[in-house]
Amino acid sequence: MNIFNLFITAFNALMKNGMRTLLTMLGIIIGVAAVIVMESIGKGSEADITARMNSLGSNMIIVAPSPHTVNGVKMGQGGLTLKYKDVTMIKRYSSATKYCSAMVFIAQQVKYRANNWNTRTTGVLPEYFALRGIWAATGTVFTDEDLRNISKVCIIGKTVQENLFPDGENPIGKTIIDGNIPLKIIGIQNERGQSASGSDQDDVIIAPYTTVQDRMVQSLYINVIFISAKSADQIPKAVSEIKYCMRTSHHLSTGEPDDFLVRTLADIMAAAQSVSKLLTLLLASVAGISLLVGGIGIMNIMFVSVTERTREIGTRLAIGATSTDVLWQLLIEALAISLVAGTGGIIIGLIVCKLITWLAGWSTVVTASSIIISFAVCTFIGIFFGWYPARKASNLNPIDALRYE
Amino acid sequence: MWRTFITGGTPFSALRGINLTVLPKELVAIMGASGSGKSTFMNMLGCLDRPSKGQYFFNGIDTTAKSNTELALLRRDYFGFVFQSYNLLPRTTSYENVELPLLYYGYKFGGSQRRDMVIAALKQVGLEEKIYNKTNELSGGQQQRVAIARAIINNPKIIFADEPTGNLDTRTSFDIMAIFQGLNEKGTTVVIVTHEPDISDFAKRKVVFKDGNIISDDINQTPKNAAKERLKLPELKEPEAAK
Repeated sequence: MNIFNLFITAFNALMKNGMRTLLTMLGIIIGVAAVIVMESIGKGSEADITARMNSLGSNMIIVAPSPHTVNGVKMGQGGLTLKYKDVTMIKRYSSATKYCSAMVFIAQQVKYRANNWNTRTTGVLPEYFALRGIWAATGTVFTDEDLRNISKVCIIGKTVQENLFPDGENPIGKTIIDGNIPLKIIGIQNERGQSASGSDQDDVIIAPYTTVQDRMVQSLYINVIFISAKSADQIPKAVSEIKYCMRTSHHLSTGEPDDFLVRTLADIMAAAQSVSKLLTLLLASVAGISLLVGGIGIMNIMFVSVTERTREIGTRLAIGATSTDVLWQLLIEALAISLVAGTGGIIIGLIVCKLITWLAGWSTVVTASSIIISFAVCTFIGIFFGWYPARKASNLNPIDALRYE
Repeated sequence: MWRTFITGGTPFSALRGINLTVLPKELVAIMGASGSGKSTFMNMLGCLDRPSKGQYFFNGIDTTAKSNTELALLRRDYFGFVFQSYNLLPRTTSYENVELPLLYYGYKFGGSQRRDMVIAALKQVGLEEKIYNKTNELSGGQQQRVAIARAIINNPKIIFADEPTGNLDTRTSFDIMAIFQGLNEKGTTVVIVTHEPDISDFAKRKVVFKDGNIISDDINQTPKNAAKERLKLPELKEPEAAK
């Protein structure tokens, strides 16, 4: 039988058992759709993590105090070891560093007329805005002059704005009471959403470092140092330079452990992505199992079909079909079921992905590879699970097949 | 020719040393009681089964030495089969059934050529108006005629019919036999297995089987004409209510 007629014959045979064919396909359709959806959810969460990490600032390096011990008592994270002179040191001696900003923060009650709100006031250098990709959506950010003058100015995040100015009043130019220091609002920060750790990046007041340090915190120590390397491949160089500067600044002799931690975003990103990759793998393997079950469904139905059509196969053999003809006919039937179902599964998978994004707000990323792989798997399933029943049918003795009751 | 089946560990010979020659253009009736081996013998002739011992020559070719694929091609090119239960494909039209053997010729026949051949074959059995009817919409006699059309579409040298009238009433049986006689007159060899004596009266030669052996092999000097016999049958009167 020529290929064209083989396909027509297989197609007719499937159409004659429309309902059964459809039910057989259902297993594959669900399997393929599940693979595509799971894969795209996993990939979507990976992309999300990358995007959120990038929102923290690119090529970013963070220096934080390391856990330290005082008289045998472990003090935990956030000890007091960093000073402003560390920042000066890094700025002066690290050639791979582009921006460097100290950061101090204090959480306290903020008031504007009858409204109040508890939020974190962050004191930073003006470089911080470029470093973190923050700008003033309205108004302006503060300058080096404000820093020198210890100006009582600030820019606020959207969450703070919503809580202190619930009536939609324009906050620019208004003075809020931060702790007990009056600060004039000069700008509103661009919307930044959640951070990778889930904290609200818009629930913040940013003021000059000197203002927060001298007027509010009144301490010698700073909390964190934010640094950005000149480029991604300069990060390792910057890290080693920073470590050297810090050790020099802290007068640490050889053999003495660091009293600070240097973290790069790459480490954090790698950790988060490995979790997300594991999740993708897990979801995909669950979906893969359902695809396998679908394949077994095809084999099952093909077996029933061969048994049911034994006489038909006998008739075909009697009127001149060779066993190869019969083998191909049944194999193509199995292949057609799995390929049509695969295509249906892909379409349904894509629709479900859109629905998930639309209804649940999860980001989904459908990759070409997941579609190609699903299609390849369907072809494989068709051939693999169709082969055995087809082989069984083609090996039938014509007279046994004709006599079959 | 011998054919031995082993059922439940016990060997049973359905054919016990048959020796028979069928000549071209013969119309042979193979007769015998059920279990006499006549169907088994016909399956051997049609290369649907292989003898356990002995040889079968078709057209001077030793078929026992042929592979399964070669036998399939032999059936495709030279044989036509008609079965007692018609063996039409379920849920298909007359057209699809009659066309089926042509599909196994690969690219030899194009779509329009196949169509012409199917129409010609159905005309020959007088069923051209039922060409697109599903087989389950046809009567038994009509289904058997579709089966005959399918058997003759490849212009076979020989037609094997296993109890072709077994499921049909007398009138329809005679109609079917008239078709076989017509084909035979045009030069096709026909081998019919039957246990009905009045059917065998239409054959030119009667071979009688009993317990796997031939007990008689006679030339019928005066074969009856099925078409004429059909006219002699009295018309059946149906009760009014059935109309």
